[in-house]
Amino acid sequence: MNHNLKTEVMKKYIVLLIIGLGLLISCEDYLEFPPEGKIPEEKFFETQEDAQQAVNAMYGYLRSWDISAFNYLILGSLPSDEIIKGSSPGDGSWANDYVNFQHTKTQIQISDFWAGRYEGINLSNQVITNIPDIEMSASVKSRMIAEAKYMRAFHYYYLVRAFGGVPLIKEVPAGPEGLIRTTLEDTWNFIETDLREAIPDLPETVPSSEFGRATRWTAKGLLAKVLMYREDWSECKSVSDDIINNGPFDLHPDFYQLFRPEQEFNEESLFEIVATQVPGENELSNSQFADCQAVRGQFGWGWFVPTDELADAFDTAGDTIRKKVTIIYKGNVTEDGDTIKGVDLIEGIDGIPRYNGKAYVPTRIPKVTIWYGCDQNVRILRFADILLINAEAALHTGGDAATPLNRVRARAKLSPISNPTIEEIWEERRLELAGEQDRYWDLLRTGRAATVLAKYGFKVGKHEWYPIPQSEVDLSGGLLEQNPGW
Amino acid sequence: MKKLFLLIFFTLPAMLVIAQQAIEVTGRVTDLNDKGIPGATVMVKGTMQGTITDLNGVYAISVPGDAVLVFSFIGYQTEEIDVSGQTTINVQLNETAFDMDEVVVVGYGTAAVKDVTGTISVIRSDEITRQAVPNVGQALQGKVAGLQVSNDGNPGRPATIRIRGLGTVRSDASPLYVVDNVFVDDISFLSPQQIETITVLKDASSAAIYGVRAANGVIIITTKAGKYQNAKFNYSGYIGIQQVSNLLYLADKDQYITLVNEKLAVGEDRGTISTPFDPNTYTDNTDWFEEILNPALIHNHNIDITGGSEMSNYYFGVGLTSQEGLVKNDDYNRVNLRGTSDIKVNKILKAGFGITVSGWRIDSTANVLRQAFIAPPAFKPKVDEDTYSDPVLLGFGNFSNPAATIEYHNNVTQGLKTLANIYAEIMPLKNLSVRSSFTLDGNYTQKREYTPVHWVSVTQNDTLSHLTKSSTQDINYTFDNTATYKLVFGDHRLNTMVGLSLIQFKSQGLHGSTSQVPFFTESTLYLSNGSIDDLSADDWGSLIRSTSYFGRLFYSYKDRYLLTATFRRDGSSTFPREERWGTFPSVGLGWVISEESFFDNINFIDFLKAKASWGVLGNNQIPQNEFTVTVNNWGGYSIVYGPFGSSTVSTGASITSLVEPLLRWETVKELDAGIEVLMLDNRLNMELGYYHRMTDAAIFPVPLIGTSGTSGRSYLDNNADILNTGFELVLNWNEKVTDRFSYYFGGNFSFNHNEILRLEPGTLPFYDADAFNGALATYTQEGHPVGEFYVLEVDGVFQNFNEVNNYTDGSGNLIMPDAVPGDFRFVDQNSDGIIDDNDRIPYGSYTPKVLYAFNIGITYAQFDFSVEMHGVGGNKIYNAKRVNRFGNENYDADFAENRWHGEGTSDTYPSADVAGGKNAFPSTFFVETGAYFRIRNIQMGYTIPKSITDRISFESLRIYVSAQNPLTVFSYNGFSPEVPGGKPTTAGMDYGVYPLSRIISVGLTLNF
Repeated sequence: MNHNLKTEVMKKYIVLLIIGLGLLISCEDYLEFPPEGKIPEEKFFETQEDAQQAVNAMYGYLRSWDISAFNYLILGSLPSDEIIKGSSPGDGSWANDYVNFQHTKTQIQISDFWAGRYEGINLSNQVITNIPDIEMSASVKSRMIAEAKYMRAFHYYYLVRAFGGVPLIKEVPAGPEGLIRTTLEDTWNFIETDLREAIPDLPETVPSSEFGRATRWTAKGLLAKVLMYREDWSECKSVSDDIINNGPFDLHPDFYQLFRPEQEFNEESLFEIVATQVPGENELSNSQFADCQAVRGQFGWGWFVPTDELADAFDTAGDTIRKKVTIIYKGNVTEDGDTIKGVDLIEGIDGIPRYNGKAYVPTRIPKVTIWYGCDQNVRILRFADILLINAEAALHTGGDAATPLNRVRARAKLSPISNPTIEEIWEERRLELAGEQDRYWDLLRTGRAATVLAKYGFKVGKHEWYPIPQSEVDLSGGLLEQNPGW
Repeated sequence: MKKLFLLIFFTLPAMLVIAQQAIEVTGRVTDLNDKGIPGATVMVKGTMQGTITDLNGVYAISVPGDAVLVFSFIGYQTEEIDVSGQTTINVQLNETAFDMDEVVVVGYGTAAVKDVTGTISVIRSDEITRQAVPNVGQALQGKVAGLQVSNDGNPGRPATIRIRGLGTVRSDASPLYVVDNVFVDDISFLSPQQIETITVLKDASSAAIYGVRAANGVIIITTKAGKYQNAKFNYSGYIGIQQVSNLLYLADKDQYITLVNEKLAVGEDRGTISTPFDPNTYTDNTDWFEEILNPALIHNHNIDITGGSEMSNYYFGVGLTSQEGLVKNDDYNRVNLRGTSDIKVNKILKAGFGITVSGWRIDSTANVLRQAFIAPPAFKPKVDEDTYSDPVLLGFGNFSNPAATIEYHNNVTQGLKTLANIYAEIMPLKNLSVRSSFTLDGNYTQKREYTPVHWVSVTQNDTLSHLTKSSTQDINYTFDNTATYKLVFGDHRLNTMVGLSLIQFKSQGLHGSTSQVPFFTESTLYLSNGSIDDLSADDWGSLIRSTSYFGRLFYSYKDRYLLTATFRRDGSSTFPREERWGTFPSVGLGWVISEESFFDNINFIDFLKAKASWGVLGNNQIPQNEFTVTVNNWGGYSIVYGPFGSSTVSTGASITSLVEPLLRWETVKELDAGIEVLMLDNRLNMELGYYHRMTDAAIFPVPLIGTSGTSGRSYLDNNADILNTGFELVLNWNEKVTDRFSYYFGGNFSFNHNEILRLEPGTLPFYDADAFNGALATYTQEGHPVGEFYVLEVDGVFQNFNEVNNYTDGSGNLIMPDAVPGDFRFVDQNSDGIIDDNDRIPYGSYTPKVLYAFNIGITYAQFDFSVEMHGVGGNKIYNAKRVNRFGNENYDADFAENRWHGEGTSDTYPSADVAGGKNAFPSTFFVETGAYFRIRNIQMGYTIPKSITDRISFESLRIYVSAQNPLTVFSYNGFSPEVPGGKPTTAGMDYGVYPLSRIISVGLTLNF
């Protein structure tokens, strides 16, 4: 009996052993499978749907923190004479370093601004590198690539104004070119080339369901501005003339309404960063452009507030309309019926607290997601800017500067100027585009920063450029050259 | 002569035969109370032959007349008795605290303590249940040398456990928890009363059997099972009150307004004119911690029934734990059920099953501790019975009303865990057993967050209600197969084990949220009752499978020379094919010196063993590396084109990461050496050990240059070596003076040195740990501990503008030109004339250098009394809550009393403008010592005399009074010097820990 039992058990044991061995052999399959819940890279960029998603990502990314909120506002406006930090004393005191030109090359905002732009450039390069191999309609494909080139030029445009010549990444994956700064000239050339290549393949207009996507005029508008920065006046005049004479643009009559959500994509708009409030979706509603600048103690953080200098400039010019829209004071009642309340004290302002009115979103638009005003599109390029660019170019090429200038002045109900000087055009830019993150770059490109900003601490030979983030210099093993004075 | 010789020659065999002849020996094995011990082992020394005693302690065995019988049972001193022809041998066994023959659980098997060549600590059931804590992790505090526990006061939350320092930077640093052979992440589902033993494996020789999961140490938990005894019913329970043991005092209304006005005055120095607040306009004075904290009840009940016969046994237990939290409305409730049975089907087949079910619910309020810390004391919770006060109206800023938060922001987390196990064990040959075990581990957790429509202030309100439900389901299984072979021949003993394990972890999560969900009772909180437009849902999943082969060989020669060799080969699906498999060997040597012949005369030493081990362990809890680059479809890439009012979402997705270098698990190579001594009649036990743990291929982030354009600004690589080295000492004295009086005392002490030994060239050290205002507080670099605080040095406070102007560099430039009186003066370490990151200095870390514990206990007649203490030294905490300021937050009382408020008032504390200027920058002011000493438990118990309990047919009845955490001594300015959680590089950052509680409880255990 025992003996039989033993053999029975031995048999079972052998069977188990065989099963075990079988398991061992199939082990590799047991352990090999794709990651749960994710789509692997090699399955992407295969259809037009994929390509469209990659294109959407380029535009969606523009709402991010580094591109159109905090770091963008810090680097783009704090060092100017029109915006200071604001908020309560003690809140983020480190930001005053930017106002006083005490910022260092290890400060995180600078490296995040830099890295954020390169993230955008990567999204463009993903499209440019990967879409050509997809089978889809040729016209759709070329449009998408043109959009990517426009977006790429857009990001490099911010980089070059802040840092000078930068590493040019043109495709994915990024290689050793990421470690070498190109010259200022070459960087501007690349931006211009991208725009010129994009222009013919971009549509002249887009249906309203696609507002936010680049059009041919969007690219031409940026090109005109780029040419202004490069001081290529004849080209600048010619491109801006084209936009004025052949484009569908005009000035929107009501300066206040121009910046309200219902007037998105009106006749004056060349390019806007689209932000929308989608209930229940925080990531889709993630624009904090308005939130950062909104009335402190009532709507938002109350940062990036207009200065006394700006208020005085409006007063000197007798410009009540634009002043009322640009600077909102505590106690004002807006045209939409909101009374501005909030805190009694804003750092750096001796007197009534005030805020950037161009980022104000009326309360009749209910906040249903996490951030205030995440519906507010960021107006990047408006027709008024094109007119002023045209006026400035005209002055240099012996053309008619007065007409475009006075169109802008007329909307602000200011008297026309018959023979404008360059300073008058610059002052018009200052008042028209106040609070739109343009002033600081304007002062730099026209060489006036040294005088106008000297009292804030601007040092010649240093502050013409932001420092290349020191972490980048270190990571490149010293190949990235730091800017002079840093 | 010849005749004598022949006589002897022929009778010798007969004599031998008589001597060899098997005789039937019987007898009874009892304890000192003359009670029979069922299940005691009776073995023939030098053989594998043996039997066990029956329910009355009676045994019968057939042995050669000259055999030596060995009698043993857990908790008793082993006795050896020469048979010498006797047919009846009764034995009385003495209880002993230190039994070297005791069998303890090690990985995938058991071993006698005397045979262990590794470093392990065993904690028994009564030590665990002595603590009035609902969570097993908390009960381990102070019990094991080198094991640090950071408690989390939040009800239901697990404690953070670290063994022998921090050996990793980016991976999980928690040890592996093995509960009845199943790997789990979190042991808070267990009921301490249902645990039989806990074995902590600390070195490579003991832990390497767990291979790629063992790098941080292993904690093996064995739950109670059936026993060979008459059915015994046991109830144990306690009820107690919890109070905050170290209340953090806050500034009161007058102090607060004085400080805020001082802060505004300093602001004037900085250039902003403001109107001071008038204290007379504010009449209320609220201490917010007192408002939201209240004494809380805790009670715990456990019933179990254990019993069995020779052929089968069973255990059935039910437990209930209910703990209110110190914060109002916080609550933790848990029910535990366990049933298990082992069945001996026949001589060669044994089978069994076990089911452990744990269901729990945690009610808690998010963020309220921080809100209470910062809220101005100048308003009271409610204006009238129905309305909460609006703190924003006071004019100090956008503060929340903490009392309102408790009402409107309650969150509920519920879960259910089921471990179901079946196994079969076959013994096809006498010394060979093959065991196969399958366990299904199912978890369900749901977190529900709900805020109703409410209005407290312009910033604390919701015009729509919001409901979020987040649930995860795991279905995991473990399939273990082991074969064990034991062999004894002559002086040689051999134990071998080989095994194969297949494990799967499959997890799915689902998250949904919407608005406009009405609340009548909890039964209406469903997403389907809310807005359809706002409904959003998200899901995710993960699947991990692993296959492992392992084996152990144990060899002992003459019980004197010991060798343990283990081997494990692990393959896991989380690693890419090229790096999928890892091999983890170990070897341990032991020399039982006390068994040597030259030791025979040394009587005061009962047992002396020297041991050494070396092995390789792995840590596979590395950050989820996607060696497959996947598509990034973050919501931020999607967009709604079109003018205002458009709602069609266009999905955006792209590739935003690079193909990263193949990450493999981290490996720890460990070398140990130590001695174990038992002396003075088994009364003194000492263990001393030295360890050297090197994590090579530690994962370190490598910052990616920004121009690479990836969305993660760093990638991970195995490119660092981390060292933890130190020694541990354990000393225990246990003496039974008379039958009525016994006492014990003992303790442990450990010292650890933690250092990053080497970073591969090209790998940069990095900052981590959010210290607010864009600054980071820790810096992890070569030659320093992981997550070391790296801060500016404060060498004083500017008393006036003269001092600011005199603080110049070599060329006469002001080093801190923007400073005002009351600001910190930072040391310009590199003398470059500016204060920036290059002036930071290393300033300690949260990983302690020293852990120590001391326990003492006395039993006299029916009374027993014990005290347990422990402490931590050489560690630091970053008081981040003090610097998390954006406006007029409140201050803690220590700061309010010591702040600078005029020339000469302080040279160490800054003015009330703590976050102004450069004051908020990480500095030595915020890094405080985290050392503490705690009396963890004082207990006094009374066991009803047998004379009385016998009359009511109870076996035993004990009542006790216990104080848990009666005293904690520390100088840190916070609720508790224990900061749980965090990654290795963010450890020790106090953003607002939950208060520590002191629990006074009474309890009762009875058996019948």
